[in-house]
Amino acid sequence: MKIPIEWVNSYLLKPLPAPQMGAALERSGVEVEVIAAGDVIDATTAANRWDLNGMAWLAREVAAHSGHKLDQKAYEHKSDSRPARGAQPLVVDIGSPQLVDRYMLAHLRVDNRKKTPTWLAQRLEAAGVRPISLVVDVTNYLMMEYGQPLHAFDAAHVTLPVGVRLAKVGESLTTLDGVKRRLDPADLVIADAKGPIGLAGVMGGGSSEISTSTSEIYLEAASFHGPTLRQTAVRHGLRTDASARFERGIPVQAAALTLGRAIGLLEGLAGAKLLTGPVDRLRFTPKPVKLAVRADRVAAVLGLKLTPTAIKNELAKLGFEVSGATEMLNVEVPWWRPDVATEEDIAEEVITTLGYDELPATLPAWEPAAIEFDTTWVPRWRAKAALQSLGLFEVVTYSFISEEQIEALGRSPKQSLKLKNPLSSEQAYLRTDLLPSLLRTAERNRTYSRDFGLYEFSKVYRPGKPAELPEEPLNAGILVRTPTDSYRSVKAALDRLSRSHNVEVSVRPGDVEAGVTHPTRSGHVMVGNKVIGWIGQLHPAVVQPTKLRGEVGYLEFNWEQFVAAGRPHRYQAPGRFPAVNRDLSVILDRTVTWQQVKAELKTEAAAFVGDYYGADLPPTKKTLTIRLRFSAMDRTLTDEEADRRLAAVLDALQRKLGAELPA
Amino acid sequence: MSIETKAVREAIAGAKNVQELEALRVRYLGRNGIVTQELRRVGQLPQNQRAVAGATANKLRQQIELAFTEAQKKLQQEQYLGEVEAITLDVTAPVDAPKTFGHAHPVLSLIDEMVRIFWQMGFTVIDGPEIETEWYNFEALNIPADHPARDMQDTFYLEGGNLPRTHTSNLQVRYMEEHKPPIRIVTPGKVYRNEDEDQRHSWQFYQLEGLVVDKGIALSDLKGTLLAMMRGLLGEGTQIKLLPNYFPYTEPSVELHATCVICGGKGCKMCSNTGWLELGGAGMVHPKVLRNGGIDPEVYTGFAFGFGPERIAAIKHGVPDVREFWRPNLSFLEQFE
Repeated sequence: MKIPIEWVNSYLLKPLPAPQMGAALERSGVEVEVIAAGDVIDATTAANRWDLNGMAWLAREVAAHSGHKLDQKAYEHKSDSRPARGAQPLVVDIGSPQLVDRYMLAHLRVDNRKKTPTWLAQRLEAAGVRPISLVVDVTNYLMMEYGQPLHAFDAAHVTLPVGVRLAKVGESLTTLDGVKRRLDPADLVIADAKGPIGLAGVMGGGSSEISTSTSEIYLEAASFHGPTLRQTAVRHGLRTDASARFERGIPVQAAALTLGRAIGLLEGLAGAKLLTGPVDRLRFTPKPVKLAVRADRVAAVLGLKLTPTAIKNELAKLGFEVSGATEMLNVEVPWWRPDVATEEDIAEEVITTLGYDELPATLPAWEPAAIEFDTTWVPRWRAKAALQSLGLFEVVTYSFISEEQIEALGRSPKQSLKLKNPLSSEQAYLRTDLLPSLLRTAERNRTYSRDFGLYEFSKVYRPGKPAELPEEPLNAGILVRTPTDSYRSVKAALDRLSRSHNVEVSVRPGDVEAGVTHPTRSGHVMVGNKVIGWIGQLHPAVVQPTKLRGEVGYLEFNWEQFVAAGRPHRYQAPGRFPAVNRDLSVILDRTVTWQQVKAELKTEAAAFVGDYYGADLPPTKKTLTIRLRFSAMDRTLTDEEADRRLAAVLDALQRKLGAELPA
Repeated sequence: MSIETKAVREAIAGAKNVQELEALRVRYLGRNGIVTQELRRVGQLPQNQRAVAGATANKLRQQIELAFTEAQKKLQQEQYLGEVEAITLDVTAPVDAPKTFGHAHPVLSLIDEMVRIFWQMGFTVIDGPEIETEWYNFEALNIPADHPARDMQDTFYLEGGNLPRTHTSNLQVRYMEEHKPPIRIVTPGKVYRNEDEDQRHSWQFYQLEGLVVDKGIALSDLKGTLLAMMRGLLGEGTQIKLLPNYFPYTEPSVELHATCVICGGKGCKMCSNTGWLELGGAGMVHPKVLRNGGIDPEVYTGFAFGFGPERIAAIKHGVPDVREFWRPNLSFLEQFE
């Protein structure tokens, strides 16, 4: 809201300059955004404070937090009006009493041809309200002054009796903004004998709009049920100055105060004369809120040494009446502060008037607690270091994706959780894995380089069991875009992580997801017998539409399952005697994997040197070269011993895996 | 004797480079070198001549070896001096290959930093569900269905119920249900709001929430903790300022301001010339929230705080638009390590 400094100062005996006023407002919980051009403060007020929506109340806060005195005269108002003798009493019919705590209506004669005085128009404009005509301006002025919206109907266009009720099915109303609105049975409306004439507390109807020729008005001041009005405002996309004020809940006392002041102002400015009323339908007589407050509790919650008297003095600045100077204080909360209802609320009032600068900065006295072992952060940091050493970028992508992104992978959106109210169709579904997001990221960065890689650690979301929350596994996703050899690039990441976290991972070859993975260059990532994810080159059918030229390698697995399989690194003492190295090349079927070969050579130290898929071999065959390292703990092996072991290895490979020696 | 020692020594001293010197070494001291042969010949002399001839030959070899050592030193010295005059290396030329090393995300790096600070302070870092029930996200935190506070956060909802959490505070009551005080936790994580984006807001972002519950916890302890934390994060000279605010789940509630990291509190564009930056919200845990977590507010009190790592990262790195963090644009990310 906009707070004109001159307006607030009009309630103070001595005006306060803008910076001091800004500071005082901040101390009262008003979030000061900008002090614009020195005369208007742009601010946001707390959602639980209806009163901070009115300049007269803001001035009270400013006085309490600056030590300046209020000008009590500015709060007084006079009205000589008495209803005309013999006038027909106004009949008001409250159809939904639980939604209307108070409804007041006065019938006035006015001269709306008179001009709005400059001072009033200027204040309205400074507060961001456009002056319209005298009567409307006075109602708006009081809304800005006391936070209580008022509404004036042109009496000539209202057929008594006036009622307040929920709208009926099929009813509609053209509001002041010229929009014809179909009403919802949950909308609270003001209606006359013919039908709705206003959306209660939100906007009046066009038929009874005030014009310069208006000579008689019905002036309304009410206290409506905030949440009901909020829902109406949301439903009709019509959040107005009035509805925003009613949403916070306005105490019933404000209606009488504001209506009286409005009548007084209209008498002075518009030559108004009260004809009937005001009628007053009050649902209950408000009782003052009295709280029993323990002074020591307030002091303990704040961490301050405070006497009961000190508490009393601070509260008095804000209009709280406190009796008793002992440990137990009786605090009467002023009616305009319905937000204060507990000891903690009182503690807040005390510290805000004292100022938070008075609060010492202490540290809680903690006792040592049992160690909570970290299984999240250190493994993650180690992974980040490993992946960055491979040149990968850490990215954060959005958790919500579009239907197109899901369908581009040939998947069905039905497997994904869906938002009821997405911001846009681009973000309508919760992702079940990271592939769509990382692929989109690669696509968007395709001009960055022909060769780059991404990684992301993030939760993904999968529908849970009935009546349970969704599952949220934490996944690691790695994508490499490269002209060739994309599989090797992501396998490098898997191998490096396997080493850095000492997790024994294997790849079970297979076409993981038809149409997404390359049929012969992909496989499941396994820890023991458990599938924890997959690795592969992406299928060209998935890559081509993205305009990414070259290949895309991809790896994704459940990070928590991976980390859980980690073992401490075990030191192995080097042998005292030199080892004998022997390279061995064998011809194998292409379906035989290194993992199978290694499994056969469990007892020997064998390293992968390279494999060869040349055209000079039969199309189903490949050459695999391995390096064997033979040694003994107690002696240096002789050449004959090494040859015998090499022969044993070859024999095993021939028998178990059909290996042949090259010609 | 067939070797003119003086001439040999002069030849050695006159070698112009290492190659010439090496040639001379081979000529005199090599396997078939003149001096070597001379020494070999001593063995063939009659017994009575060997001692004298041997001593002479050895002396000759020593002299020549010495000449070689000196000549070598001289040549090395000349080489160094030559290099000083003829520079062949630019010591400032860059040799780092930035593209071969990857990049950490700046917001996640900041969260990592926060985690280390909170560990030092004795907090446990926890995690919890991002998809949450309305109870833990709202009602348990004293935000009933028709509360105006729900205006402050427009929420996404899932078809069939539940919601992507609007704040990390959803873990407060969950944790209290499972743990007895003392409670000292922080929980970083993603949150979601159905809001239009702008330079300072995106609909998905990170929050870091803290919760402390114990006997005798006071508002002053919150102030001290926030101060320690901000100093850890922004530097030792950092000051903080608390201003009243409203959150349904804390009472009293405050807004945390810290001295601007750009200007050190003097006033600049970043802090709108105020010298202060608003960085988060905090407060004493509302008694209703403690009760919802099964904790008696007459025995225990607590505080909670929360802030947005991307705002701090944006300020620290001078990023004018927080949406840059999530695009993700590799030309942007390559600027961070």
